[in-house]
Amino acid sequence: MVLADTSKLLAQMRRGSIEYCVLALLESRDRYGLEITKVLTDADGLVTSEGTIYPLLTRLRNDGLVDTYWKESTEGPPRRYYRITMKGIQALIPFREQWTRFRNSVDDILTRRDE
Amino acid sequence: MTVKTSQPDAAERFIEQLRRKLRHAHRTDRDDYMAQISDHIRESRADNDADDSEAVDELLKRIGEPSVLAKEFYAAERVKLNGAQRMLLWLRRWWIGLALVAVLTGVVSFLVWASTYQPLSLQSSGEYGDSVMALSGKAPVKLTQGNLQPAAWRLTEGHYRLSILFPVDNRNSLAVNISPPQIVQGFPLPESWHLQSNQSEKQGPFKSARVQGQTYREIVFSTSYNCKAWPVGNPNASSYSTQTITQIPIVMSFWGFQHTLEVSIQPFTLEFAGDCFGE
Repeated sequence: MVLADTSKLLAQMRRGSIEYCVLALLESRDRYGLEITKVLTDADGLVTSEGTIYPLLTRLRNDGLVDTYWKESTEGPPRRYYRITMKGIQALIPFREQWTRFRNSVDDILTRRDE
Repeated sequence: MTVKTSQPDAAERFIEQLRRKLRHAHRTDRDDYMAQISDHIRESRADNDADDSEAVDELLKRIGEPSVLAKEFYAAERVKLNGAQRMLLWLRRWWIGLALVAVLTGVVSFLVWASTYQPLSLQSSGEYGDSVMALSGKAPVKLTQGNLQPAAWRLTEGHYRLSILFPVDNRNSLAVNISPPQIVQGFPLPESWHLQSNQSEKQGPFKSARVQGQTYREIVFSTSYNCKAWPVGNPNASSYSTQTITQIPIVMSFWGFQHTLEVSIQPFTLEFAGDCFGE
């Protein structure tokens, strides 16, 4: 096994979880693209390129986990807002449960000191 | 007055690079993505100092390299493309298209060549012979003397068997398959076909045979005639009908292409002195 460098390691960890982070963000309220990107970019290690969020949003929309609508903006042209669907909520619930178990297990292993 | 052009140029160049990278994508999806990225840039710049070139460079850096974005875009797009669409996308890459055209041209050229490939002919130095013998009734009359060509035979009344032995030569280096045709036009049924051993003259059934390059196979074609003399008083009694045989058909197959060839033989003539028909 070849140990991955940090960027590859982060990419592997990001894969499979970033979609659910977006769904979780949309669970509280609808958001537009830049807003989602900003939150994810501010969270350390979640997004390396802001532009890659949009294909992800498109994929979520194609999968029926989110839908979109246009809303007038006071700061410029109308914005495309993303809204989580019932299917998205149903996808998020098991992920959240499994993620907690998974994270706890990993934490447990990583912090274990054999006596 | 100073005209600032570097900031919008950097963003525009970025958009143009990204558009080029996405040239193989579906137009609607690409336009949608480009609009999202453009909005992202516009709004981000509105939040910061739109004229600060360093801020724009920083923003573009955060957005990501066009090649990275295109890679992500295609990865996401492939999820929803069906097999045919993926194939189309693949074909749209020019070098694959070019290679495909080259391969197709090669295949078509080969198929055209294979469909017209015909290396068989009558072998001039092999054994050759035609004979007519009476199985019953009156003996056939050979009208030509010795080896004078073309030979001619007169069939009067009786049951006659015509046999033609001819060697088929593959003058090229590639092997072909040969088989007898279902029907030989101009001859009565039934016909029989045999292969003769080049060495022992022993004959065996001929259904299908392979003729290796630069070799030949000896084929015997036989058929029979049943002839009745014209009844006395028939106005046709004084005339003869004739049949001159110059070719025998053989079915040749090569790379799945099958066609019937007429192998030229040494011509000979049959002269019917009565009402002759197949057995």
